[in-house]
Amino acid sequence: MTKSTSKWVGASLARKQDLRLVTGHGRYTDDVSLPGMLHAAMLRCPHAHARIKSIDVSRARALQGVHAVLTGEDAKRYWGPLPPTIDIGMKVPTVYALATEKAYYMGEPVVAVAADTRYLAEDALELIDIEYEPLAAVTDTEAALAPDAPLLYPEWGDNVQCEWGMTVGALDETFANADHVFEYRLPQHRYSGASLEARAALAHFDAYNRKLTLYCSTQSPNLVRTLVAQTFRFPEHDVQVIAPDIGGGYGNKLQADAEVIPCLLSLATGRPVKWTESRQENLLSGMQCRDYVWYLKVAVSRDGILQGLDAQVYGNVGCDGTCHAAGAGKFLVAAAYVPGPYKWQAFRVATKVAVSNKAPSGAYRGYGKDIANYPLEVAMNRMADALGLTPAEFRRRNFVGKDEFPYQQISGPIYDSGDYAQCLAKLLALVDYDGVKRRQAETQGKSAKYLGIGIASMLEPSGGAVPNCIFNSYEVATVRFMPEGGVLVLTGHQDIGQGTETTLCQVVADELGITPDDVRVVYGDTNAVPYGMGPWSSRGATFNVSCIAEAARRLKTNLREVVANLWQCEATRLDVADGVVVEAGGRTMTLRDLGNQLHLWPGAFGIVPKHVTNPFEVTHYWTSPIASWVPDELGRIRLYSTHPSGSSAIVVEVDAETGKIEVKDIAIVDDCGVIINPMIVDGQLHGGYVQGIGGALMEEFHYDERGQLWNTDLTSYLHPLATDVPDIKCDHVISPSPYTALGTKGMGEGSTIMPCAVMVNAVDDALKPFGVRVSDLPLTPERVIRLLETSAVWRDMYGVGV
Amino acid sequence: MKPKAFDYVRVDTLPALFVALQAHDDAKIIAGGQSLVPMMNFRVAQPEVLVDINGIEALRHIQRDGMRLRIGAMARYQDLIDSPQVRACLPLLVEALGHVGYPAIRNRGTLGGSVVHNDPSAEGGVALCCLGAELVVASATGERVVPIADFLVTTYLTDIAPHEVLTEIRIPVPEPRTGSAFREVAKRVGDFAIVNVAALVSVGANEEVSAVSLALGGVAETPVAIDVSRALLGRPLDATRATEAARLVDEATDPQDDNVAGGAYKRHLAGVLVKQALTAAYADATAMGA
Amino acid sequence: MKFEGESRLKGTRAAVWHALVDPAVIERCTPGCQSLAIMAPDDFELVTKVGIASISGTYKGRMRLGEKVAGERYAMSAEGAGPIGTMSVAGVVTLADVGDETLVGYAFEATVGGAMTGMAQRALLPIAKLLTKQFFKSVDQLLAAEAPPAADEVEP
Repeated sequence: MTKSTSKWVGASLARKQDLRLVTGHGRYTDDVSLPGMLHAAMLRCPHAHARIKSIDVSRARALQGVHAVLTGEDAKRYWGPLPPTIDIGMKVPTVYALATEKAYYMGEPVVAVAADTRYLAEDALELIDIEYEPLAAVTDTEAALAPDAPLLYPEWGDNVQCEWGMTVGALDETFANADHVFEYRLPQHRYSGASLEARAALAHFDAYNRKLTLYCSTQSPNLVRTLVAQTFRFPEHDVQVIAPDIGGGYGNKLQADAEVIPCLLSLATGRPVKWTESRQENLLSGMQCRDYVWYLKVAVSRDGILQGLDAQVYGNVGCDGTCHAAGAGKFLVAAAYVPGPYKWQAFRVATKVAVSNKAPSGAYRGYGKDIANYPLEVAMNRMADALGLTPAEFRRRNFVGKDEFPYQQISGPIYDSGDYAQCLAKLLALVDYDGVKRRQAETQGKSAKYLGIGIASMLEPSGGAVPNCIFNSYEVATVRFMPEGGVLVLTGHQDIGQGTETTLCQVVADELGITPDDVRVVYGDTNAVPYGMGPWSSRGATFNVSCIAEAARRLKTNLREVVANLWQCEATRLDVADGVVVEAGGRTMTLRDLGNQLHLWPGAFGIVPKHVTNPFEVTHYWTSPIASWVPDELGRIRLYSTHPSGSSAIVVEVDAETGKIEVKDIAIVDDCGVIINPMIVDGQLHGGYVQGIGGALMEEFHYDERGQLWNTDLTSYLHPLATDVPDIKCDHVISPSPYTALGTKGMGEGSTIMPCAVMVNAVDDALKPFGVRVSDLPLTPERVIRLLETSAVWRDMYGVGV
Repeated sequence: MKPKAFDYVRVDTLPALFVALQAHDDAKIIAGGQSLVPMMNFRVAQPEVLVDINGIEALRHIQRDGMRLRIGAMARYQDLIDSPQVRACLPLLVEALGHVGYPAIRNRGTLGGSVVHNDPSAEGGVALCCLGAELVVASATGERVVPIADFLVTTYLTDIAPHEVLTEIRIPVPEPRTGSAFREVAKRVGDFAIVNVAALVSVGANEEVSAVSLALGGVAETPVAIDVSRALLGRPLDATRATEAARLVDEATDPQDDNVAGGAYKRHLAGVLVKQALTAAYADATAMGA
Repeated sequence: MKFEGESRLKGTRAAVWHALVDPAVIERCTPGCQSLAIMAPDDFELVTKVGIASISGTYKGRMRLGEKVAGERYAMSAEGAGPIGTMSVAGVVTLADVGDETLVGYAFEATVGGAMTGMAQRALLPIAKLLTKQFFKSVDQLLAAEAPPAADEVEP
């Protein structure tokens, strides 16, 4: 299909789900009610690390309206340990969804209660007596890796869940001969997605039907089904997972951790049990993310050419990054992608992933690509400054060029296509970089407000394929032709707010020559759809779209064969447009008529030629042509299918007296290959970018030295609001991917990958007169003042007076 | 989280309110509920009975009475911000209340409820400290009038007994040629303030400061008024005078570290905002005709 | 967090000291105390019903006294937990003569925790201070109502 024939791909079609969602007619997991339903609550450990000495649930069990109270020991009757979601050379702990002998983080569920109402269930929690023996806790990454650190899993001998590294090229020689060697330590704090809808799960074990049904707010119903079946050692064909409307996932809903607790309670009571997570529970024990420190050494020539990169990243996955959720994998991704969109001659990376007494770590928009982006892009700006080059010029000298694709990066991945220099050029124009710099020169020092501009480029490896992990590398979907000529698409993908319910209709409409209204996407029910992994690592536009486009093409081929058989002509003379099968220069038949003939009269028996094995539907399987788990001669593997890219800028005004940062302008240029729905793409860019700004300016999980979490409600875990950002300018470059069916690349994460580095670069730029450089995030007003207080220039101007 | 079980009673008159308060040991009055309900949801507040006073018309008034404004305890923030009398007489109050939360909160929350709740950086409390307000506390047996400084005891605690209710806030109208300013730093628009400052500055014929009132939130257990008159009276207010006033505030306060911010940062902010507020209030006063 | 203060009580140092370490007095004078169980000498478990302004609820605590020097000082550590969260204090209580009255000084290091809402965290220390003041006031009233101790109960 050429670009000229695409009528629907490329159109900003209004989204099909918006009418029901904005009028309050959406159906979320908490909206589902089943007869006899009970409600769950969990008693959570108040200590960061503790041995559980005794639990007395007798008073809770006696409370009127309470139907079950289960401890971790009680639960072993029903379930086994949480199965690993990822294991690539990782230490996998034996952990359960309810703590057994030990609790590993503040907020870990210890006792589960099912009662007539949530109110009663919480009343019951107060009647449970638990004796804990608090143990020494460790939360800081480098402290957890120190030799004398308290151990979470003593049998490991240390707190290292995994480590990995690679070296390519003559590293020592490169650094020895370099004109410049720059060194940086760049930490990033812990935060996460915090969706509007937190976790929710309604489980119904029907003993008479021998079936477990689980309604669940999740991004991946099929993966949850597999994990739940493994946890309870149930035949998986007797488990059904239904994911209705989802109020945000962002990577945080890709596992079956506390979701198995309502299943447990349903097994114990024989009744449906619903758990709707409170915000406090979500902040305490929902998947957390980021939390790492990089050490970078960069060798650069005197004319600003990058030569060698020697990097170490220490990551913190909280109590576990394998069974509670697949958080450990992101540090391996980060290690592979820290070279970014630039060319290098020598490279070494080492990653060490630590466990500590904090909530479990999972995936969050970026999954390592953000971790790779942050230190690299901050270092690029600081090195440019040291070399006397503009941030843009330094990048231009080192980008992979647009004629060099496919390009194999030194760490192994093959970048499919891109034009990084054009993204950057468009960005500078979009944000009027030179104009901002002029205004900065004019206004600097005239008031307490300091203007600054930061930029960064990014790579968004998409369509992930991770070995021995739930994040596997295939997609299956069915495109079904209906009796009246419409189409059903059955997909294991999930619409979590990103709009696949609409975009897939656009794709299928173009492939089959119909309209998006002729197509309905069926998703969110494991009994109704083939096995699919769900949306993560921007799989929608890579795996899912490619699979469904190719399935639709095969269906179209089959239908042409049927009509060719009816009309006794060559199938190549037939096409479909506007819902009508057309013979070149001759006969026509509506798809409705074809559907009737095929299904109703005369039926397939009468009209389908012998060589067409199934005219009704096509179930197709797609996998990445470029990912590879077989190490090459240098020991490198390739985990991602496509490589979207982009650049962005933030203009800030920093109040040097109060420390407040005002975001004055945001500009994003994104290259996600072929665009299916421009309105949806821009929406994703806006939302993702603001989410990234939240991490840069205000979101933080602060654990103190005793492992107590201080951000357990939305007055202390702060999201960015509409009042915190200006209108966002977006522009696009289109470099189609040669590896997907339509040339699409995926773009769910790119806009979240960049903002931390961009914000740091902007604030560094604004505060240049004071000679300070940002170190710790988030950039709250207090941190900005603490940073400025280290500057004698600032103390002279603003610090004295009281 | 869900609150503990409670009973609910609605009253439409003050006498009915006192009957309800006498009848129940552990009763809590609910007006706008913007502070109380979140505390109940977190189970930090566990009243056995909620007495809903939203039907008591007698508590909604906004009246000029000679040289003071009398505001009913149930007057909603937004009603005060929109009131022509408040806008004419107490621009400081209008400016301060504009920083309270979001429109939804301002439509429901009441100034009286906020004063009784007594958050350390509540904009209403800070403005009322600066304005030298008095609170009228009533019970079945009568009423008493309490100056605001005495009313605000400590965080979340005021001088009001379980059987009493706040009925009215009385605010003296500032003399002519009094300028006002309210300054606040919060992490996001609508958040609780980290530190806020309310200032009233009156000037005489030669633009010398003839009176000053200053109050701060977020630097102590409650909003506090700090006397800076000896730094400012009798002279024009320039940068040096403002800095001296800030120094007096610094000596008189000892902000603590807490979940919102560190004590050192609050101290720094107080200095910055005191200077800004005094300077702006003085400019406001001198711009007025003699 | 530092949690310090002092209170003046009518009574001799000896009488005040004995009252402060007496579990019966602690039970009677701790605001809202519903029960005090003696787990071991100088080791008490308390259940109190707090009701100050908006904040109410049942709180469970454990208090341990130690390093006792009769009439002069004792060390105190306590942990409490309830709806607002958890709090633990540790420090020293000292007594000094002021005429025929006693000045009781307390200096504690307090740490708070538990999944508390940010709103509650700001109130914890002010409320603890208030409850402590109320405690000493009650002890003072109790002492005033009782007879002075017999001569042979006063230890050197």
